[in-house]
Amino acid sequence: MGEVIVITSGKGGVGKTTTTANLGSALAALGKKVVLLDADIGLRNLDVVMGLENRIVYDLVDVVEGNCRLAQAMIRDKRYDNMHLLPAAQTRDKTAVTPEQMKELTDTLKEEHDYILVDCPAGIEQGFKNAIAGADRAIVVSTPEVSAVRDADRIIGLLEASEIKNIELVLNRIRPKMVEQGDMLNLEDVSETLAIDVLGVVPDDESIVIATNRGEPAINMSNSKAGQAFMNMARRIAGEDIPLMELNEAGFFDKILNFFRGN
Amino acid sequence: MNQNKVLFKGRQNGIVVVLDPDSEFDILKVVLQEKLEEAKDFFGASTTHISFDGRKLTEDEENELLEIITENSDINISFFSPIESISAKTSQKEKKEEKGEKEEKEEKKEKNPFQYETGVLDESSIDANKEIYKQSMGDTLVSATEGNAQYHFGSLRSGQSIEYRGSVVVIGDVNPGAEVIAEGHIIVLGALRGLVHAGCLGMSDAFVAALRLEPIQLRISSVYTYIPEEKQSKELEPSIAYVEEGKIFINPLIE
Repeated sequence: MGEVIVITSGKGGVGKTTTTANLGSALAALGKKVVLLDADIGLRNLDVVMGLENRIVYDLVDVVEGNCRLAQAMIRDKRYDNMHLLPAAQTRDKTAVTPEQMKELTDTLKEEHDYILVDCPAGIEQGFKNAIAGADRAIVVSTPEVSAVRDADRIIGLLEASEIKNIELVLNRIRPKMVEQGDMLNLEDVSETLAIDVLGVVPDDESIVIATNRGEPAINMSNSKAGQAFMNMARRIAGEDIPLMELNEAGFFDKILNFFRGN
Repeated sequence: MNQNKVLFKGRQNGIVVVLDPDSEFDILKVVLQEKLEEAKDFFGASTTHISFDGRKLTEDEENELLEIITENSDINISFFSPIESISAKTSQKEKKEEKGEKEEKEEKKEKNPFQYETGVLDESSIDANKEIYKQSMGDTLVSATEGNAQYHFGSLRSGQSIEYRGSVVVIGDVNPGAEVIAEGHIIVLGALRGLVHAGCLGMSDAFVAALRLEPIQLRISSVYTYIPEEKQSKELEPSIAYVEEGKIFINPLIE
């Protein structure tokens, strides 16, 4: 029996789709059977980020309306055989699907796959309600910005009210230098307000921009710190105990010390 | 409706039984008995000082009430003191003020729902209020004079709100984006970072207390304010905010 994880945030543009794509790819790289489900009907992005937009024939709304079988709409990933994408519709909107239909769909998917990652749209209305309908747990993505944290808090309140108990935080696009200078919120500031467990911290990384435009997950790029962070998060989901990445650039002196210590 | 006719207020030195000045005495006797039965486990077999408040009583009436207390609870009365006449007077005045301010507020709401003005207290009641404040601030926290208190266990997240016709105690944080609106006082046993409005129907001696007072906006009756960044401290300093002469004052709770 698989697990349905909804990736949500409230605020738009903080990294839900990026997290879904990279976390899913990382889990697939670890050998798990993964389905990525784009619940952002009308503004779909997951297919673009995964580089699979040319392969879409049927989508989520087609499945729900009975125009095709579920298997016909699932697109196998370019890189990992054990991962599939179920894209959203672009020419419809959020009212095309009900929460009950979403739950039925994710329940079916649970039987054959290990992880179903649902990419939730921004906001708190119908799209959000659809996306969380069948979820067993939630990942809340936020950036270290006051407005994002405010929205994340609201979302967590709504998730708790829907009886989703396992809620974890991904703090995205953190800039260690700015944190050091006191110009940016740090992990403690954010988790004090949000009061949920932390799944991972992802540094702001140019490799994400490059990867997205290429339609490739960043975990495959060498020297991508963000990619590494997502890989660690996948490992944590799969049960491994991995400490949070050290984000501060080691200074020259520290590098020397590490060399002598044999790190 | 009977709920507010008899209220128990805890003071450091004992219990004050607040009586509704407008009710029939016989009704008060019945309500007192009911309340004592309800609160039996709470009071237990305590030895305490009792006084009555809110209404003028004859000696016979006092004795009747005392008898009801001893017969319907395990309370052992160590000392009894007569009515505190200042509060008896002001409770009438407060009621008139509240009615007046309520009507004003409703008028104002219709014209311009979001306009808050600095309220002006009636001259003669300022002194009486000061007396009560000095007395209570000196001993212990003033307990609610309006109805009961609602307790909320856990933090309030952004978008959540509590509205209550009484006082509210939050055992947790009030996050930015969350609201607490109370007819009485508001106490937050945690960090108060959202919006609060105490004395929302005009009770200007309502207070707001928190372990950490950093509200986005703080409103008491018809006055509002916020704490400017320079005055915000990172340390945990339990504070209390109240209104005096139309301005909000904030004092530390612990000297």
